Amino acid sequence: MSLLARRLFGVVPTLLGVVVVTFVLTRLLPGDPAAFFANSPTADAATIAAIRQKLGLDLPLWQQFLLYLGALLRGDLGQSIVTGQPVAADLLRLLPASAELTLAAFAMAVLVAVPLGMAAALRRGSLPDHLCRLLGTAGVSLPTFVSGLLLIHLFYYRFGIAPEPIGRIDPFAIPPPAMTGFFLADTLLAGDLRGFAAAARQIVLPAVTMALFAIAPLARVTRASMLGVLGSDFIRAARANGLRRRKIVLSYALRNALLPIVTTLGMIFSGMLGANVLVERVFAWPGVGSYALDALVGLDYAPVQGFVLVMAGLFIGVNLLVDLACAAIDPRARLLSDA
Amino acid sequence: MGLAGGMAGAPMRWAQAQTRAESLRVLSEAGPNSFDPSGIGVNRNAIQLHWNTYDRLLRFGTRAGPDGTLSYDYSTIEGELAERFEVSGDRTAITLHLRRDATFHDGSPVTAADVKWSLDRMVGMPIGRAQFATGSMTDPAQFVVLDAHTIRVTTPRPDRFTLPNLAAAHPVIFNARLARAHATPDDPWASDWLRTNVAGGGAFRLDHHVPGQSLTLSRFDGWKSGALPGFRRVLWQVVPNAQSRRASLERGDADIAQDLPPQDAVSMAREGRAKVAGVPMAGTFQFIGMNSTRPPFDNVLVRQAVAWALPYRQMFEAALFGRGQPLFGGRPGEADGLQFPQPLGYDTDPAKAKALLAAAGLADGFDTTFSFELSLAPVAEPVALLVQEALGVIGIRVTIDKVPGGQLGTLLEKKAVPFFFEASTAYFAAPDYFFRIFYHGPTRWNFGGYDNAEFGALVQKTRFETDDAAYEADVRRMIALAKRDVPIILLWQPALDTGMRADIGGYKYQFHRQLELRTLKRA
Amino acid sequence: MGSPLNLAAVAMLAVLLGCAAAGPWLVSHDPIATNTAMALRPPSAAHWFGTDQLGRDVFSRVVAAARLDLAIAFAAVSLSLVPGAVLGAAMGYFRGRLDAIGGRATDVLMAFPLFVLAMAMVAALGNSVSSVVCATAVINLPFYIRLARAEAAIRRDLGYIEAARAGGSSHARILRVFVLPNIMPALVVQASVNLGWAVLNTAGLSFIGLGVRAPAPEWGIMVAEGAQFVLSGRWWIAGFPGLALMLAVLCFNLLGDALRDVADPRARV
Repeated sequence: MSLLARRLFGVVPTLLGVVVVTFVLTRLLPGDPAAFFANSPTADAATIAAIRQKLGLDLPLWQQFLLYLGALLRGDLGQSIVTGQPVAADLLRLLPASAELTLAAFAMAVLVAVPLGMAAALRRGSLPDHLCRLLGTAGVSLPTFVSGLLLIHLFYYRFGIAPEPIGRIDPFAIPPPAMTGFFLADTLLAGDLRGFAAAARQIVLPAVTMALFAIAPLARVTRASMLGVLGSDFIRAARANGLRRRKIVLSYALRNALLPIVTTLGMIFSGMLGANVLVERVFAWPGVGSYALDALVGLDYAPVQGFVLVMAGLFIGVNLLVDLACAAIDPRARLLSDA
Repeated sequence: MGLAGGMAGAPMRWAQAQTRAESLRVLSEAGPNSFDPSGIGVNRNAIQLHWNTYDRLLRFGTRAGPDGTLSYDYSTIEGELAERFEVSGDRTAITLHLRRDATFHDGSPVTAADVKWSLDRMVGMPIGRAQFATGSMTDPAQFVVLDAHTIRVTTPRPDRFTLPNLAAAHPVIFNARLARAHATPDDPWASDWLRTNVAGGGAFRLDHHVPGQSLTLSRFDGWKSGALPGFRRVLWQVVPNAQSRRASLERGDADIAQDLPPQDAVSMAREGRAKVAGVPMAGTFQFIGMNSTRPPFDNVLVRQAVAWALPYRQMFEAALFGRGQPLFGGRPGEADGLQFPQPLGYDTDPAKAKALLAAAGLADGFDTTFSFELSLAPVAEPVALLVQEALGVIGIRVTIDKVPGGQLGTLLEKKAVPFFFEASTAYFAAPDYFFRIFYHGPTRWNFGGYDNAEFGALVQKTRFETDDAAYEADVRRMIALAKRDVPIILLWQPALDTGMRADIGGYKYQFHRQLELRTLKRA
Repeated sequence: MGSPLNLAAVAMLAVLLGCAAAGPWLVSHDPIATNTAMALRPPSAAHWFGTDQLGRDVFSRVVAAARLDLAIAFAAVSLSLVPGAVLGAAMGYFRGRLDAIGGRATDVLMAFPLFVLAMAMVAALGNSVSSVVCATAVINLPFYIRLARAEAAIRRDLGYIEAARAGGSSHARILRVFVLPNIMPALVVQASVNLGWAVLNTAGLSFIGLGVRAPAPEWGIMVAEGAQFVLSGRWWIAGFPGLALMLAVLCFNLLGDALRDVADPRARV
């Protein structure tokens, strides 16, 4: 447990570094928010000065930073000008949407990639092996915005199979009572199967778009790891002992191949969480990614800072989870991560 | 469905088929970031919300365009919350008589005290004051309550823009009692509360708002300032991607798609799966600016050379697909009517451009950078490429710089960009108002940094000119100067393209370019 | 290396490099010359891939874009590979305070949502190709540092390096002669996979309007701009550059895979 405590303590300087870098980066943006927000043709220099003062941008940088830091310590992430809401409230509202999409895509990728990688390892060098590699790699070779637009064009506009690629639920439906913020979970908790089906239909296309990107690396690691284990002595021994192939593959080989797979899973999950900006934009998915993008383009500092901080916290949390999972799978890993 | 319906909790509910007919679903590029017209950094989508949920004292009249599309009429002003109004003989006082039966959404009557508080609030906040100052209203003492239903607005001298200012988007009438309950000593005008709450009595009430995603409005059946709107319910959703908005409309899932790119407007109108209302935006114009405070564009010959070199027709077709009103061609050198913007009289003539450049002592051309803002890229980028190519012919070497949103405003404020594409809007159609904002003064809105003593004097003189003949002569002179000195090259007034299903009627174009929900109905 | 896919990937790489080297001589039209009279024409004998909004030949632009896209990818990857290798190797070799500080800095960098970081950097540095290259290099840097550090840390206590140290070689010389060359294979494998990723990152930035300046042809920006014409039936403006982009990334990814199979002993079983 002391390892966990040390890891948690070690997070503090990393987060502080993130806070400083983000603050500096937003201030480096060559635009004056006061001039941007005084967007009425009747606004003159005095109006702009008044706005600058109201936004606290007339203070010296170090003072702005200290004020920001003080507010952070009180749990206040500031106020967004673009949405007119407190940043913390915005993120709290939008984060479940992003997380649900990422988790759905992640689940899809794992369900497809792990069996695919295992199959490729078991039939190494065969046509299915090459085919799986080609298709997997092709999935990573399209920018997500292109594959997203392509899917929308085919499945919504041309064939009309998929629902309208706008948001998380049918526009005339009322969202389920918020318990987890995940519509898939909330509809089930409310016992609303029809609502669940609608939310599931809505999430399929964006999740597939994101999953396409994760399948190839995951399948690859699974295949390589399985190959390593399948060639090892104890599997040969198990084979020689006449154990059934199915049992060998599932209970012995897969479990021993799990460590690198879990490590890769963690990296991929973090990557997806950070990379869903474009998918959210294409599918009008109300998540934190497109929120941060709007804020960045709109010179709205507080949301950008808040978003980066929350994301950094999530990444660190995911890494911690991965380390714990690795330790649970293989006690030796604890030594490794301690080194 | 017994399964879902019978369970505890509140399962998802769908609007019934008959209410779908009375509901309108609107998709737009962005949503409002504030409900307060005088707030800081309020975007233009906010107007769509407060325009339809608040009433103003006055409003502009209505006229039909050549294709039958309704539009606002700047030349007539009628009452909204004020059932009638009188202007005094010396034109320095306006007496407004409020409707006696009008109420706010919470049922409380609209009184002169509410109006007084709302107008005082305008001049008490920076953005509001800057706007009202264009109509000579700067001091609360100018708004006098005569009785519970009568209020008088006085101005130090006659001002043509006082009435239009009262009909514009900003001066909404708040439910003062409700708003004041949320005021604090630090925030006497309740701007924190009014940013996220509606305290009005307009034709629609706001039921639900998910910032950045959707708004649900319902009709206020007690509305007295006009005929009841045709829709009981409006669902307004934010869909940033124009292609998604179009797809959704063409598949019949949405009723109205706003802010269509020109090429989509053209192909949608051709394919006929939805209809497109395209109204050239009066007051809105796109232009090429040249910074006349610095070389080489401080030389009028250089600016004229550029104006003669541009491939206007190609730009109009390739960038705008012909969706708009050209501001090129026309009568050179002198005014053609009193309206402005009007065509500046320039056309494509590379030989003339080359000669002018040589006369300016720059026969070998020069290097410059052409900037435009990211959000305008669909139109600005083709324009920029054609400008680059055409100016290359006369020896001006152009680098194209696409500037992320927000940054260009700062650069323009500092007059730090030499050559650029921009767009802007004047709410009031009077030519002197246009010149005062876009051709005069130290602000960024004087995009060309135009500074001409004669022009400046005329801008001041026309401000309060009461003699029509003198006003006309002065405006003609200003138009001639604007044509000669071209600090900005007006290109065109783009069309505001709104796609809608065939059964949607009553569309009306408003000066603020946002959707007028009150007149819409399903046939 | 002998798999048919790998051979196909090598052939594709040859075509790409050929386009990048000789592109301007291979094409029928000037890739940046406009001709608005011929705008938005579908593919034909004169214009194999059709024309765009300004009447520019899409085929010529797709071929000419190979040079810029490959240049961005190679520049970005080498800009993160070289400093990453040196820094990481030094950290792994010296350990101590350098390692602690460097490790903390990479932790901070890796905690960022990378695409948003890249966006912010391009917006702050100015909207140009060099900013895109810098941003892509910076967000890749921590991965190279970590890899180089791990590889160097394994080797620092190996016999031949201890022997060199005992023989009086300076640290700089040991790093240059013994450590860096030995950790390079692992880094090169990482780099080859990263090439494709750099192309995608550039395209993603183009989609939100950041990066390459007009009129230079670049696949990502052509796809992003062409995408708005798809619903009006002009699929070719985005379709062909999209295909080129996909093939290029596919080729880099397959090559990276193949190299990894060679370098990674586990996959060679």
